[in-house]
Amino acid sequence: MGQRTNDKRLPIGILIFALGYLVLVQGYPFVWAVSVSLRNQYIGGAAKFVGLANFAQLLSDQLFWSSMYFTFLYVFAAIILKLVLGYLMAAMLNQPIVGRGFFRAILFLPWALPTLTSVLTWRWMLGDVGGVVNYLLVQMHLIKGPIGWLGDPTYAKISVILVNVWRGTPFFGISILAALQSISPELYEVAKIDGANAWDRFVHVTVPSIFNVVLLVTLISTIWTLGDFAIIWLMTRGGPAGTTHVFSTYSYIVAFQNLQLSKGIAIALSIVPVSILLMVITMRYIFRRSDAV
Amino acid sequence: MMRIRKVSIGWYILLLAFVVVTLFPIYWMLVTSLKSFQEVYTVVPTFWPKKLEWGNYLQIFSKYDYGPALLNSIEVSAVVAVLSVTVSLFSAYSVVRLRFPGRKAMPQIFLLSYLIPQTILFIPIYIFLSNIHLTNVIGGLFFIYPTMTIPYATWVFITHFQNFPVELEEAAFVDGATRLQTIIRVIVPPSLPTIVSTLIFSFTICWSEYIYALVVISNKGQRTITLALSNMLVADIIPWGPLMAGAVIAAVPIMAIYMVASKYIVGGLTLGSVKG
Repeated sequence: MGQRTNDKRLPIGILIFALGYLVLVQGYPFVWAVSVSLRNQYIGGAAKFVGLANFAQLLSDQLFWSSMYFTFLYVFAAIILKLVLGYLMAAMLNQPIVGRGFFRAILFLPWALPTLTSVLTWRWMLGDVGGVVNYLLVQMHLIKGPIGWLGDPTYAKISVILVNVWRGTPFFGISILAALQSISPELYEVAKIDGANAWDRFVHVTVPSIFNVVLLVTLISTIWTLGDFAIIWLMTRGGPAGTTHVFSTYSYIVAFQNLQLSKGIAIALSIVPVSILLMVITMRYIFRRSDAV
Repeated sequence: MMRIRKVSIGWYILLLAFVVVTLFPIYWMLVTSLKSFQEVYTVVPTFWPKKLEWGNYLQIFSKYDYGPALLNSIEVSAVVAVLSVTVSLFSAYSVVRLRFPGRKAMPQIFLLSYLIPQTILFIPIYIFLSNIHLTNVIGGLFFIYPTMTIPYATWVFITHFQNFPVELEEAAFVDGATRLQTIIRVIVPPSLPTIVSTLIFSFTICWSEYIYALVVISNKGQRTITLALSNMLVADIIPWGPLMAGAVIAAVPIMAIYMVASKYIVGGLTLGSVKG
């Protein structure tokens, strides 16, 4: 059996290499970040230990609180909309419509496109000068005059959420579609024979059958949406007047424009308890379902 | 006989709405890229260019240095994707097929690593790279991008191998094949759809990456496409024509690959475990 044991070396070696790499480039910086957040570090300056001062400082920082508030509003609104629209998309693609495979591929595109290209396109479409969205809405008499989509605090918030929804809906739609397609048609037949109406069938057949997938997709998307940066940074830079900052854009500004690395890291770390909670729930959920692992 | 179920007109109206909202931005990106400077900035937008102009596609290269950025992105994305998929294939194989202490914790570790958002790590990673003098060089991106692709790809391969019949391998061993030969000859060929979709998605992750590139690279010659494009926003009058041309160039290869391979990709995208 000596040869078989030797055989293991290459795959195991590669696994150890991969783990070592992740610990070095992901794990170590994270642990180190915690220690930096307890110091007073500027770019190009020496650091000294300040305990929780960075975090204490955040408590009285109004922009920190407003960025946290918008982070959660952004995640909450975007997830609800993606879930509803994603379900509609799935239910629609689950109908025997003509050219279903083709439309499935088309509707998948926003998820496949590089985030940056779609964000830039939306910024151009929502712009004040030459923006086609305002033009279309005025033409359709839905609005009276141009709207400052990215200049007005409320509309700017709506805009960044809508771009996230535009991009993220296909992920929900395609995943839920796969779940819908795995439901046996007999279940619906039986329910029909039992006299269940459309709503009853939805509640008692559809919902339980797709619940697992919906929960998992929602959890994963929540983690990703919570970590969003590019959409907000490229649409509004956190503006107007800081109203669309989320924790990531604010920590970027503090660290790289104000050069306060420690404070920037403290802001990023403030979201970690929520992220960890979501990750733990997601992982427990995934590993409970696939016992084989 | 199969009964043909009628689809209510409501679904078609909904479909139309979805298709319009999905395709219009993509259409607008394309159309803008083909307009002249004057036509881009007219008050009343035109829905088809009066005259098709290819100037934006020349300008993005001549005036905005898109060429080097494109090469950098292709290089980083291709190299990182191929290396990550290779490393991940062997790592996942070890996790599923070999016995060693700590094996049970491996899938959790890779999934956890995959789920950690870049926005939590970008500042410490920047400091880490600057300590080892890897900021402002493309090498820095080669070094950190696998933190996104290896966990993803390993996770996908782990779920793939769990559903892969072990009998084929055992037959190969009986015939005297070494483990490496077995992996290459017995496991790789039937796994090609998973391997290809994982390669594509890993490539896309790097191709679209923004925040790490933003903090690590400031040198013009080392920029990736995402940096080259986002840098064009820093202007009094944003050059939307060339910008959209650059966006089209960045998006088209990805769109084409996805349209062709979308059947295989969904499984990987949904983390390989959302099967209903």
